[in-house]
Amino acid sequence: MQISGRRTIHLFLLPITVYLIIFFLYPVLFELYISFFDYSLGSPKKFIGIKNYLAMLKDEEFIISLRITSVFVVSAVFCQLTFGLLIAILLNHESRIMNIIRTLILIPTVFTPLVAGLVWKALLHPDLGPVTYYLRQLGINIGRGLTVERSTALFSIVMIDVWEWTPLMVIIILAGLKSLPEEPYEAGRIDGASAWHLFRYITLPLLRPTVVVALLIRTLDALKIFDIIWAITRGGPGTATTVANIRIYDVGLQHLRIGYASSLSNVLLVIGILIGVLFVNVLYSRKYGGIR
Amino acid sequence: MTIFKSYSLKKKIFLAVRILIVITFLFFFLYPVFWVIQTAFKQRIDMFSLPPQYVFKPVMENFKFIFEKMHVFQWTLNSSIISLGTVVLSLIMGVPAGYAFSRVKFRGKYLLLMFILLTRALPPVIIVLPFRVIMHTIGLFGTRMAVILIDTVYNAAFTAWLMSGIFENIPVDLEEAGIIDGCTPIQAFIRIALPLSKPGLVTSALFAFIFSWNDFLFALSLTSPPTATLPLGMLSTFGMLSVGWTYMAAMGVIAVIPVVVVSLLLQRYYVSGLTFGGVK
Amino acid sequence: MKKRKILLILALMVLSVSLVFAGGKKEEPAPAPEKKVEEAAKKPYEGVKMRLAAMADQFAEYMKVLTERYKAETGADIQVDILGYVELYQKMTQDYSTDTKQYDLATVDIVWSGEFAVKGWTVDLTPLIERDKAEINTNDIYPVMWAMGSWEDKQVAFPMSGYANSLIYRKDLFNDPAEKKAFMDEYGYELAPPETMSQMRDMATFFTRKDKNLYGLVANGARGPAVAQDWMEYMRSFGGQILDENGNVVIDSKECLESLKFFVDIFDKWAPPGAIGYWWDDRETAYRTGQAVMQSSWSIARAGYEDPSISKVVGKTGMAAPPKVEGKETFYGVGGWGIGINADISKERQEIAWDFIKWLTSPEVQKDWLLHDGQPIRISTVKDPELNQKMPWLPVMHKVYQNGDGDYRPRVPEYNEIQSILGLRVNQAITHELSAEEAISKAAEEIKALY
Repeated sequence: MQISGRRTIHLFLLPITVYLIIFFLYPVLFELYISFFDYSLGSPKKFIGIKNYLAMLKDEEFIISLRITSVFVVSAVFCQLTFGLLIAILLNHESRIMNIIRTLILIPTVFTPLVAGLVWKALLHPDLGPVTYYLRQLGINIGRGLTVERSTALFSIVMIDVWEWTPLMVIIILAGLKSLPEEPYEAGRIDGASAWHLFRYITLPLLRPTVVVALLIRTLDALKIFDIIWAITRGGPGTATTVANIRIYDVGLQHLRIGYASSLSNVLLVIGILIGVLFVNVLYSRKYGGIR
Repeated sequence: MTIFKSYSLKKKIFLAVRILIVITFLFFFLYPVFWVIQTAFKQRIDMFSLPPQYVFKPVMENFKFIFEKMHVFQWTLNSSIISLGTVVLSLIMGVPAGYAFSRVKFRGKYLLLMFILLTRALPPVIIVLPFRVIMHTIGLFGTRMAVILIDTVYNAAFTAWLMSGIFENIPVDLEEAGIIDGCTPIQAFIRIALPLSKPGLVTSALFAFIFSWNDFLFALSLTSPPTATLPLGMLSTFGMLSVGWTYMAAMGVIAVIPVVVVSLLLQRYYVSGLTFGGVK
Repeated sequence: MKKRKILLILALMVLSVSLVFAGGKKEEPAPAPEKKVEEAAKKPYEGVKMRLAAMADQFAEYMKVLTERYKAETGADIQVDILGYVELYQKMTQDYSTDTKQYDLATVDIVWSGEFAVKGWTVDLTPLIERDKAEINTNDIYPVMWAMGSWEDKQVAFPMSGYANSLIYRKDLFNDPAEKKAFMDEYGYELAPPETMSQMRDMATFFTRKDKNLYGLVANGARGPAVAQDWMEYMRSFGGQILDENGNVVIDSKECLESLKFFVDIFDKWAPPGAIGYWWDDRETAYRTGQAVMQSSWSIARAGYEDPSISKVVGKTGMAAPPKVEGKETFYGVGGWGIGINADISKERQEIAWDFIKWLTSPEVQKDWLLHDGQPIRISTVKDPELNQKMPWLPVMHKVYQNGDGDYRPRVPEYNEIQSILGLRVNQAITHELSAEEAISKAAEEIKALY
């Protein structure tokens, strides 16, 4: 879509570009620069070329953390999408009670992730937590506690993330559902399509752009997960919940090895960029034939 | 006749299943919220009694404590100012950009769009350090503005993205007509396109608000004690040897109320405003 | 009409700008101390504002009261900002390294001494201590306390709050005649607070009654500083070391391995099931809610057991010097917090900060503080008859301080990395991801790689 007088409109891009160059690009370039140094906070820095990046290959914990991050991102985002779709469809009709439910369901999202983590830490406290207590009463074997057993710790983190962010997914998908046109459904009903077919062949394709954007935002955010894990397990037990950002935090802000932490951070940024490019291409390939 | 009957039974079962699923999810989402609220009214010693007690004599001690001994009022104010500031700045940066993305074609648009989007992928842990140095250099370190600036980095891009989808849905003809009537393009944007995109604006604002309200890591590194935010305040109830769970819960209640009220008030806008990606 | 609107908008803008930009810190010049006789009544530091970052330990709350008193006496207004352990470290290291001068004073953990000294982050107090030796009365401070802040020939923090590592046990159960008899019948010797590790083992086993939700011995198991620091306490009891006097890595010793095996046993046999995920507060909660019978803890936690708002074991707690392994002479663990001055602030402010430190650690203030959740550094405070009456456990602390060792957690610049390595490897040992031998050898390998 074009508009006349577009030279002026170009200027609209100026503020954000300048802003991001100063406050985004500069720190990123600084991070890139410092990643070629052996730099410990408070000590002089020493240029060491790409040694930080080579050291990474031998950093057992970082490699594990990348694996754990991907398991976390995939399972958390998948659950959020599935539950989000399910709940949104169930909630998609207008009534006063639905309005109330829609607002109530948003509350987890406005808990600061850190606080959400702390709340769940108490709920899942291995000896004194109420949820632990109920699970044990129900005869479910949770070992020594969901958050402290190696086999279930990551699962509990995924659950908390799902708790926190599914509501946002619900709201996004609900909005998408509301904006769907009526005509294809009428046509479909006349052709005698079942509810499932209507959903599968009309709703889902029409929802695709909404879902892809929601997925992209959630994936990029999930890649950065830190607060919840920091509040509950700080990467333990063992390395069971050590996601990339926990490793970066330990190296950078606890051991103060900023140079090395920057190189780790850059790797994570590149992974984020690749995922972003992938999503945007998927999003724009059919709808607009890509923006180029 | 029999077919009709079984059909309605099927429908009833569907409805029952539907309600059951909604209730299950509601329980999952709201039990922790309920737990926080009731903990806020408990005495510290009763915090971890098993089996969990739900009938108890509520006390106001925790609220009294946090208002008398901690700067809850100041923290809430700081959180509000920072969140609102982020909202305003993100909209100022993001909305015109989103408009431009939807209205003009130019070389490198794709790259710029990607670049903007990728701010969201930036790992936050290390970036606070160079950011802290910048803030210190320009004398903003320790101010609320410092947090607003970095929160905006993450949100402006998202706003631009979301708004470009919104503007795609607004027919360009109206603005064209305005321009023929003698508006400048800027006037056309302000007087015609902006009012039409109100739901989108509200949604962007809400998202920026939630992000900023929830932020902890940036606030920890960039604020000074008088500008500390609520999440930092809540963390300060966590002593080494004993955790002030009940105080944290009381603060949690305080922290959630304003956001719930705002989202209730805005609901009719944002639910219709989230038409991503330009579904026409 | 339009003018008014513009004015209103302008006013709003000014207001919001002032709100948004407020809170940055400018360094006020310190007024020169008044010397004229006729103005002697005037407070010397009137108008000076300072900030102190305090660890969120028991002592922190009363620090606010003390700074109020200091303000009343001298006029200097010192704001206390309470931060958790990890946040404090993060905030201070960033403050020092980016020269933001956010805090003039900060509590310094004993284990940070080496790092802070090497990086020059806090002021070396040696010349000031030498100058004011008489006023401070250095002989009154337990020698072990100087470990809080000393590194090579520097003293980068002043001892403020000394913690005695001690054995906390349920006096009521240990003194119960029925328990005593049952123990005698089973083990053949008197039930009393354990003095050796094998006695501790017997008693932990004796008191562990899972069906009654009673557990013999509890320790921290959570990955990170929690498990690392708790294990090091047992390691010291077994006579192990991480670094020897010459700085060699000696963690792969028999003693360390023995202690780790004992530590693993705690979680396998005697502790509440969730202890593998415990932080300090969880461990203390387990004790205060009556789940655990014994634990190794810092003396700072002692007062909390008598606080009915958080403790269900009021009046039931005994405190003793920690047990040792048989046939080995070991020292007791001492830890705690010093207080340091930011090296970036001006000389005048440093002087005022130093004056505050001297005041805070003076015998009179120390006594008041000890009554309100503080911890002592002075012999005279621990020997004070009035305090001894209120706190019958002080002689135990005296014994620990007299034979204390502040170095069992190595106070080297690399401490944080050593702690992270141990935090992971010891945690893996207690969750049986690694055997004790593997954990020790991996930790040794990784710590050696730091040098």
